[in-house]
Amino acid sequence: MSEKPVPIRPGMHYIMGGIKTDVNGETGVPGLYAAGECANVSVHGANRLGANSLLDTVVFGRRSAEKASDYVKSVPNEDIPTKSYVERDLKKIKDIIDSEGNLRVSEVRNEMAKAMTEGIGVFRDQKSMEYAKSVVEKTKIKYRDSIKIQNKGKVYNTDLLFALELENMIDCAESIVHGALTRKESRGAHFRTDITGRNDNDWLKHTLIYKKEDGEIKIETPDVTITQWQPVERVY
Amino acid sequence: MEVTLNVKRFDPEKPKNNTWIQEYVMDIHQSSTVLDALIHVREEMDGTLALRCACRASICGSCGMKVNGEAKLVCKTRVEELSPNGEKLLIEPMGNQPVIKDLIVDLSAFFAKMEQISPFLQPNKEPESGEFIASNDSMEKLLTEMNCIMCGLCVSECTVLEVDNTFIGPAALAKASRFVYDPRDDKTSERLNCLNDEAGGMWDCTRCMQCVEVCPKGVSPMDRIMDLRETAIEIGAKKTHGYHHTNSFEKSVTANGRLDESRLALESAGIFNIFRLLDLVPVGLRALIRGKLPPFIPHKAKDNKKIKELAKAIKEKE
Amino acid sequence: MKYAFYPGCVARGGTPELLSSSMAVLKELDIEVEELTKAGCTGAGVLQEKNPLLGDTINVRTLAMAEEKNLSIMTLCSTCQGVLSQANHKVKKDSKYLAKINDLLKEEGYEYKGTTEVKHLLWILVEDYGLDKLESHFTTKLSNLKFAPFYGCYMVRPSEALGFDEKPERKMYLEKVIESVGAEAIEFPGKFSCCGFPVLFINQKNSLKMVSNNTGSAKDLGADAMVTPCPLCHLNLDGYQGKARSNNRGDKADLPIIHMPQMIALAMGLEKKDIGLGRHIVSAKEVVNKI
Ligand SMILES: Cc1cc2nc3c(=O)[nH]c(=O)nc-3n(C[C@H](O)[C@H](O)[C@H](O)COP(=O)(O)OP(=O)(O)OC[C@H]3O[C@@H](n4cnc5c(N)ncnc54)[C@H](O)[C@@H]3O)c2cc1C
Ligand code: SF4
Ligand code: SF4
Ligand code: SF4
Ligand code: SF4
Ligand code: FES
Repeated sequence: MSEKPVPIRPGMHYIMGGIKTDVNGETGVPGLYAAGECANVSVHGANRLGANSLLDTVVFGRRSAEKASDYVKSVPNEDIPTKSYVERDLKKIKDIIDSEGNLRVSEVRNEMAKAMTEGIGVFRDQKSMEYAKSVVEKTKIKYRDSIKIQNKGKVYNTDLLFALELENMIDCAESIVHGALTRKESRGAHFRTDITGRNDNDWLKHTLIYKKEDGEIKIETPDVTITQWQPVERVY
Repeated sequence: MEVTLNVKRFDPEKPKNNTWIQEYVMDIHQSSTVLDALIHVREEMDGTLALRCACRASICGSCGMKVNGEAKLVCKTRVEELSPNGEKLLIEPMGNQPVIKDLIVDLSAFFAKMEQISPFLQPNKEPESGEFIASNDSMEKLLTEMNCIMCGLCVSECTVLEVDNTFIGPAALAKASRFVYDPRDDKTSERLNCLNDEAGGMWDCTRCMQCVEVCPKGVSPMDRIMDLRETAIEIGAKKTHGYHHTNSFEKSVTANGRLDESRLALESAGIFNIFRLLDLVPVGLRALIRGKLPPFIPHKAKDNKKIKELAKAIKEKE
Repeated sequence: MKYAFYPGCVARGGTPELLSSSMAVLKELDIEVEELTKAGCTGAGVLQEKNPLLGDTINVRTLAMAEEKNLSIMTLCSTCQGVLSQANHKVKKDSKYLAKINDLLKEEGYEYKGTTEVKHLLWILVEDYGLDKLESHFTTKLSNLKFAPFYGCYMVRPSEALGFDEKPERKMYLEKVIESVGAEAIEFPGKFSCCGFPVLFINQKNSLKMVSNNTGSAKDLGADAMVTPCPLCHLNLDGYQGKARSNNRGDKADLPIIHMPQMIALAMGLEKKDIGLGRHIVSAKEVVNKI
């Protein structure tokens, strides 16, 4: 073992929540299926238990694959206007490659990552979450207006890849801050230092976040349907 | 602390001079890994540098590269250890696999070979209880082979793959042993017969230990290959040259105390394989002329009787 | 200075000239050796494949013989060194296993306690004898010569069993000895490769390719000869170089393979017959002429 101090800090282990699906992996969008960590079948509650994630991927991976296969067979084999989609994506890539900003993608991403860790990491409160939200807002604008790409090549261009990835990360960060700010209690991994207790009276609810075409965020908080299992606290 | 990386670059899109060594000098934290330094380059100095990584914690197996000529997971390699006094580090892509760009190699052959060994359990029938239950003990025995993270470091350094890319290689063979020794799998002899192939199979390993040395997860692929060979001998998968080599060696050691090279040559080619024997002759003749041929009557270790007895005692115990 | 001597059968049988040059060098250096005549073959890793317990038992028996004499073991062969070290490492780590082996050896009266050190002549020269003292025996400087070092797998792997964690400099000893005789050790990337011997009888094509790659690339880098501490490497790289090179590179065998003690003997100015270069298949004449 090293005799010098080993730097230690918390790392991201799992994303609780994700694309809402039913037990067959069906999402709100017909024909779109999700399973695994990106999905939320609501089997994990607010704090996934150890080893249950792989179980989730195996069980719901299979179910959604079967359903997706059935779905494909059930719909008519229409012509999908692929050309227009490909053109749209090619343009998107070209725009990124040609962007003439002055900020590296990593710089923009790290700034957001730092704010997310500080504002919405292990412990959070109203102020810290609002701070994180404000940085995410700024990141959106920086991403749109000021990034630059050094690598213009077509082979294994990670510069481009990370730019595309950042766009998706911003979407995720945005839904995380909105979801967290909505929930006025502590529950599972959502640990607020300003409101510490769990509040089953008001918050036995899901948080659903939608983004409309124009970018506007819509938040819904439907009640949780409890059937067989009562929610209990995770204790060690 | 300051570190200098000399990175071997390759850009397939450049019409010429597409391979070069590029120097990057930077300041990094004392505890940085080589991967941290490379990410620093990619994020703050040169966005054109291509490298593969994900977990940064030696779990995912994607950051295999050569550091100063040795294959390593760069996320598991600290700069300070290799460069305590600011020595330059040479970073190159892994060996024995085609380079796609800079530090990224094409792993398709690696995965094709993994597929070749049918890397999934193949039981003969459904268990009556509806559940396949493996004892803790049997799983503990498989811990080393199950640890493989498919990083390809062993393949990068394998001395046989350097000269013959049809060799199935250390990682796939280690993976094969993971299934051969799983009590839930029923295809042991089929698997071993496949791997017993004369060309590219498990007997082609030279036992050079490169894979044992570089594996970051203690899989010890060569030892897994030796396990497979032993089991192949046990179940009587008898058709290859390799099998005869080990068999004759055991006879020779137990009979004479020491190895009899001429006999080894004869038996491992197979007494009836005239062509291979002829093949061996010219060198033998030349050696004979210079008084070099291994003695036909083996040097007997003075009390080889004792060794024979030991062999017998061990056989009886088993 | 005295050692329990384990020459190995390759030096004994296949390449007697390498044994006699080693003996001549040891005599000149006044290093005393007592041969372990009752010791069996190490098993070369091949026996271990088929019968690991027998292999380890034979080796622990050898280790116990040296322990009885209170001597360290001297080897001349990378393979012997590696395989003995591995057995030693294994039983030192696992006392239960050692007890099981000792039980088998009981009848013959051996009991290994785990104190024997196994050292190749190369390590002995650098660590125990000292390069300064070694140099004082040299009468000629081989300063016109460039040698490619070639260690042999088992001299460098597995590094754990070979004590490289405590002595990482063991990976550079051959270069040091080459420099001590006044020659230049070229930077040879293949110095830790495999010579291909173990698959010679199994997959000759591959074995020959390895011989060709090793000798051809050393030649391309300007080496006059290759120096190895291992008689087995010598046997393969020397004996099969002609065929290997013509099959794979379409050229001729042109790289003499010199066993390390032979190089030392040259620097000592020992008699031709003691050095034994005349028995090589790839002629070492040019090397001798350049001195
Ligand atoms: C350190 C650690 C330890 C863990 N240990 C355990 C454990 O012991 N037990 C347990 O049950 N769970 C554990 N988990 C959680 C579990 O491993 C994960 O939840 C699970 O592996 C997720 O699987 P997945 O297939 O859903 O997603 P992933 O494995 O994350 O796969 C997503 C894939 O999508 C690809 N991708 C992403 N974006 C795109 C795009 N735009 N286009 C194309 N492809 C894309 C990614 O490259 C990736 O291959 C652990 C997680 C971590 C981080
Ligand atoms: S021991 Fe065998 S498999 Fe491992 S690197 Fe050497 S030749 Fe390849
Ligand atoms: S055996 Fe070891 S070195 Fe080879 S792929 Fe698996 S983890 Fe990597
Ligand atoms: S290892 Fe080789 S040289 Fe050493 S004793 Fe055995 S066969 Fe002989
Ligand atoms: S280099 Fe050759 S002889 Fe030497 S140890 Fe490796 S295989 Fe053995
Ligand atoms: S980054 Fe995953 S193993 Fe190194």
